[in-house]
Amino acid sequence: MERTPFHQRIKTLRQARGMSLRQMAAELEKYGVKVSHNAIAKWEAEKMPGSTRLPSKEVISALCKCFNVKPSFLIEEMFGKGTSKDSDRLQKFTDIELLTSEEFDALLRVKDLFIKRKHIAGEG
Amino acid sequence: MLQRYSLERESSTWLKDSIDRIYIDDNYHCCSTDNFEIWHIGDCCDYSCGKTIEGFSADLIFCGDFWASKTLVKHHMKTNRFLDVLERTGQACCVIEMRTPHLIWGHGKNIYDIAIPEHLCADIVAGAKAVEMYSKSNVVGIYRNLKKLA
Repeated sequence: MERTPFHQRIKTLRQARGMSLRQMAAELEKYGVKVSHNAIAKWEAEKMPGSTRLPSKEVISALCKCFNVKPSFLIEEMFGKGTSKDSDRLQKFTDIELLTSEEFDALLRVKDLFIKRKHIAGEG
Repeated sequence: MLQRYSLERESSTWLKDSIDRIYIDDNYHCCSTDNFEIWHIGDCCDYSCGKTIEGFSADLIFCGDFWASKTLVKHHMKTNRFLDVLERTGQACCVIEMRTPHLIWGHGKNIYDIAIPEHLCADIVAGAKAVEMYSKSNVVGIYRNLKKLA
């Protein structure tokens, strides 16, 4: 399974939260990191495969706080391709971090409904 | 051509947890060299650089001595692309084995070091070898006397 590149991940997270580049710069400043919207645009720019240069450790930490995600999720491309023997189904859920809390709760309710139905069918 | 290798789930989880600990500051500064700042994750080592402890062999070097010696690093990294990748992209990950295998994460001038749990060593070492990100000293341990490396 291909890993999501850092630049794409940042862009997807920002867009999933409906932030503009300027709003994201303002959010990062709250976590002690001062960057311009131009700098964020550069992070998000398409890169050649394997050419990603991560921002500083402080910026990575601030991005994680800003988007409420783990560093390993943000920089997963650094782990190389397909480094886990997790099942295909589990791998497909790596992007679950992109969902808002409400969307995640809705997904859980649907999952619980399917499991409940399965139990009822099994008992019947 | 580099081979693909799939880590076991437990190894992959440990790897990700270790990276998370680096960026959430669960690490401590060990020492500085001309080229790098060396850090350890959690309570990686039983001793600190520059401090000897009872029963510790004086022949073995501390990690700061290793990273400070370009000769030693070059010698040790013959089969490991870590430094090339770190220089080219600004970050890299590898396994180096001296007494025991350690995971090394490099980000810019920072080198983070954590001992790999014994039960995960075989899997993670195999994964690192597959992508030429593994090196092991060709002597038992690394000695202060560089002549012993020959």
